Amino acid sequence: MSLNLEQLSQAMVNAAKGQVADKWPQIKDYLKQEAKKLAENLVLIEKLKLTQQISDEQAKLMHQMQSNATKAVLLSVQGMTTLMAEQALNAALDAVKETVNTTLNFTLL
Amino acid sequence: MYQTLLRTSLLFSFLIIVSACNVRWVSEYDAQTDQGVTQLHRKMETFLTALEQQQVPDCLSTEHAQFYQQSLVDVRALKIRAKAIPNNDITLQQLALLEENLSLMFTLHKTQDSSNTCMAGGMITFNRSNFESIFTAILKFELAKKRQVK
Repeated sequence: MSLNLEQLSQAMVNAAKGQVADKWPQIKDYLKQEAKKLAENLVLIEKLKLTQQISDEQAKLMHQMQSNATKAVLLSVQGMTTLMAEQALNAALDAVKETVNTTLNFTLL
Repeated sequence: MYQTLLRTSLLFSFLIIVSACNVRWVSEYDAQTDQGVTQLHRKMETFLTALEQQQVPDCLSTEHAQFYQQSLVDVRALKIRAKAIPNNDITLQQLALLEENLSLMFTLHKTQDSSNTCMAGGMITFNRSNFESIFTAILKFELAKKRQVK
């Protein structure tokens, strides 16, 4: 029995696609939800400043805090995207593992 | 013919490169980071809820210096742990941002003392939402590291 390149590629692509289809909507929803919250906080800072409930110095500190929170959220999205790619690659390898190892008659994968 | 050979060679080269074991670009889930961050989140929420109900002088930063110091110690301990885990740069950066925001919040609180008033309700709402975003970001990523496959 020989390895069929097209079948192997297709199996790998399908397995990877499954991981992306499963994880990406969750990441997207999280980002959307957090972006809304972060925007609301920016509006809140402006409102507090306009109503003189906070000073210029306090507004500056709050903007810095907001910038840090945004970075933390984006880092999370970056991390989850990396994890998704990692899982897609591993799923692709798993999908062809048995076929490849059986055909070659040794454990390559 | 040549193209098929080239594609097959490329596919096998790729398989051989990644065949040693499963690819791991991100660290494993760490239960202690999860618990530590969850506890800190609870501590922050308890603090903000108390602050909402306090009057001068109880609401002043001088009355809460211990909370800030203890929370900073907790984050620094989590950072040391995170640093010891391989492929954990993202969590480490997030904890550094959390640490910075705790220091900024302490400064923000101190600036309020100069007017001898408590933080306005809007400021507390801001802090609650701001820290919630950071805590959620760290926890969301930590839980994703469990790599549960459906």
